[in-house]
Amino acid sequence: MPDIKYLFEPRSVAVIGATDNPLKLGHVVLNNVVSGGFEGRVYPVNPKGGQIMGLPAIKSLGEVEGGVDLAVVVIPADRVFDAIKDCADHNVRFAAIITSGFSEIGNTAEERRIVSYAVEHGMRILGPNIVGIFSSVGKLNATFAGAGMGGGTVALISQSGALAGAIVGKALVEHISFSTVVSIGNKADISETDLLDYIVSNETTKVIMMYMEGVTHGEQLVNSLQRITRIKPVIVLKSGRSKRGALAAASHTGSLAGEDRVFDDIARQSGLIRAEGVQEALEWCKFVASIPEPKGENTVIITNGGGMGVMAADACEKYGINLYDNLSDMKTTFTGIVPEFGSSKNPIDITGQATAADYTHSLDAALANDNINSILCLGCGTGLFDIDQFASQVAQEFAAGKYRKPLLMSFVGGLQIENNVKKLNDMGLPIFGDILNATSCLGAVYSNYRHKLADLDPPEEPALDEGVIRTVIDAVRKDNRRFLLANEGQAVLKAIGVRGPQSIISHSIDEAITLAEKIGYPVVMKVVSRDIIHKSDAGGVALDILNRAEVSDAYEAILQSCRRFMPDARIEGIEISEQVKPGVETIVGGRRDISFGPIVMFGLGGIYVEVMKDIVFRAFPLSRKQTFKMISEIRTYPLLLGVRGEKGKDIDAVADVILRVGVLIKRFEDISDIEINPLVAYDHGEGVKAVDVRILLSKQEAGQ
Amino acid sequence: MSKAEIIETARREKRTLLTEIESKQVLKAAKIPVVETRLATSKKEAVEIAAKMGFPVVMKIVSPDISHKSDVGGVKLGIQNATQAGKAYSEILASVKKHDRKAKVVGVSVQKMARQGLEIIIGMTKDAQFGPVIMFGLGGILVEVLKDVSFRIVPLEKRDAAEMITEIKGFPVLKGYRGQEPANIPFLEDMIVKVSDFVEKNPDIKELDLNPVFAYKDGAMAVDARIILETA
Repeated sequence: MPDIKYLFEPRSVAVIGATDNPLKLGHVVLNNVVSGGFEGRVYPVNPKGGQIMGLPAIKSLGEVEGGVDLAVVVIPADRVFDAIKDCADHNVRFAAIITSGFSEIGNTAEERRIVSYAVEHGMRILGPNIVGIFSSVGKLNATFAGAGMGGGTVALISQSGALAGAIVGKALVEHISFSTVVSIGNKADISETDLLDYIVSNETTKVIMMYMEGVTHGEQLVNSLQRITRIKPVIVLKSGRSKRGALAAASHTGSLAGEDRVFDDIARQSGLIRAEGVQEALEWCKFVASIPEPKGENTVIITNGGGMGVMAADACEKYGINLYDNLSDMKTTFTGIVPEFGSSKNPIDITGQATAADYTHSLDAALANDNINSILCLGCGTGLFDIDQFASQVAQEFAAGKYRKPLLMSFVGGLQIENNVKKLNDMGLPIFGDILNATSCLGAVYSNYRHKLADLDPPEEPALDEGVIRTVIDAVRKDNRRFLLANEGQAVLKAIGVRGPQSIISHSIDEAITLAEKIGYPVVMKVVSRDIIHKSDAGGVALDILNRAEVSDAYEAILQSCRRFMPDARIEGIEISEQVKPGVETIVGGRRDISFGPIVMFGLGGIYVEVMKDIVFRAFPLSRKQTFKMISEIRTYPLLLGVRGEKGKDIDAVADVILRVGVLIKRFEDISDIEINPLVAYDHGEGVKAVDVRILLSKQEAGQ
Repeated sequence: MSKAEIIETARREKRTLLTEIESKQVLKAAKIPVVETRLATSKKEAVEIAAKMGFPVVMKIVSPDISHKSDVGGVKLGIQNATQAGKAYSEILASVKKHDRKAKVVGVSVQKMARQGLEIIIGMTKDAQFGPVIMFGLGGILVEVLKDVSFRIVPLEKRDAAEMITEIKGFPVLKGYRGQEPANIPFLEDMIVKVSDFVEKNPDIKELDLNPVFAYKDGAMAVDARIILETA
């Protein structure tokens, strides 16, 4: 397969569907390539031949010796296959199919036919259904979007073509420009994962923004993002949060949107910073990479209005920003700056009397104190505060590089304030017209900071007895079932090293006693008979058996009442099982997600929690440390830490089970679902017990 | 004892916390459904009360000095007959004495063991800004951790109560989740309004906790109750 570099930095470009008719997209694309300053060879492709925009047109790629690096396809859908065939047969490395009318409208077969032909002949496909590709390094604008998006530091990968155009347009208004814009549309071949390695290594790119609707090849994506997000911030806009949105996304780019909760959790695991809307995403693009990296978690709010400070404090909680709370340090730092009726507690209130000079003094004090790691500077317009004076001072200091820690601002007031905010923002200073935007941006800075701080520790895959699992699966397949029976499920659990309650069938009172002593009291006794379905109705169950006398009594009693209940029942014996002690009930599951492939799930048990959907997901690769983080993300986590004077539960053992279920679902494609419910967690050091497990095999396709 | 007498007794004893029995008596008088609970001061009395209520019963220590009753062996559940009731009385006293010789023991409370229902909590606290507010939520440890509760300012109308119930995230549980018995929602609405009326008429109550309330298909009942008075 060709080096992805030549998609971004082609040495030659062909435009299939190029024409002199200015109303056609083929014309716009060719014009953009030529006027965008592309330095390689350009070939207009048109069956009519002749000259197009002064360049000699070719009829087939066969006319170019050695082929071209990139062919841009701008012709009607029904002619795309022939064009792709011509490219693939003549040594073209990449084809970007701008044309729409494929899987997004259900025309999946044609899309598959195109991609298969291309890939079989060593050519890769971008799209279809895209706006094109722009790369400032490659001096390439092979899009039908406008000119002038280059010269910046943002790389945009967008699944939606129109939104890519809109984002670019809006970005330019906000003085944000791009290093790269790739629209990937239906992702029939090339997906985000293929592009990220090149993009992150591109020096002009400082921040990556992705608009996603669905995820394909999720496992590779997570793997690649876990690495890349530690090098450069990746901001993501993911639609399909709601059911209706997901449906719209599915019909929009023909992708399966998947469950948003799964995406949200896995995005966090991958270090993506998820924005709510275009405006927010663009603000983060503009500032997250340029704001100096914080050296710690202590944030100080400086404000001239108490109300504003309170709002900011609320927003800090929402966005996970930690407010500095060393009172004496702050008192010393802001002494002489905060008037007596103000507050030197965080938020620092320099009061409505504050002048521009008071602001600069307090900023100087906060910048000079190494215990303060970041600053939110807020203000209301007042008669005493000269915003012009303040803004010109700030502009100078900012240009001189004085702000070596995150300093984000928000000023709210009249036209004069708005104008100054805009002026400073345009300069690249993180200043906003609303406190919420300033706080959310600082929150994004901190998400990125924390993610980079956490080591990328190696994924863990505990050993399991693959032979046993294979045997069980084969037996179930042979039986034409997809459900595993209880004993089969237990066998799988044992093979992955997860403990369930011990249980053994006895055939006599003496044997029952021996087994009960071996298992340890209390035990549960149950009749084993294929004829008796409802064991308790037949008097076939005895709980809380505490000693050998009770075992022998219960044995007799069970046999008697079962015979009375159904005289001709075949009784194979009496099962003696360990009686599971009560603990905190949890659920550990694994399944094959349509987007992310194998994923694991964790939550607390019980119907209430099931209604509240208090569960977390993770994809692979997964380390032990990430598993602990995963567990800590459920809202009911305090129950595992121990509430009402209870001891903390054995979280280590829970994490171990999650990892083991993970390996199982990852290694055995035959298994589509596994759920241990409940997995009872005991006090720290006392382990867990898998009381029940449900395992489902995947559907087999015909012919297998 | 009437409500006034109960409160007067507490005031005289310089208590702001009413005992479980006192709290339930006060609530019962306000027609708020509570599990009947009576005080026994002798073994004989305990057996008589239990027999009259009908088995099974629950017995608990009544002592102003003991806050965690089960930790000191002060609670016995599922008492099935008179013999067990007598034995339970003696065991509770002995166990409590063993744990805390100086604890002042008033007696043992006897209550009918309520059939397990869906656990709910109804409470009242006085908010610094809004005055008395009623709280509603599903019960148990989850309320504490997930804080899935709704609030309304007293006085409440039926419509407010209805909104409070549907507002909690766990509402589907009340409607009967996975084959569980659903709660009688109109009954709960009525009960919430009664609590609101009760609170409105009794400004000297500072806090009220009905926790748990067991909700059934055909009604609901406060199994435990606690009332704290304003300091005199």
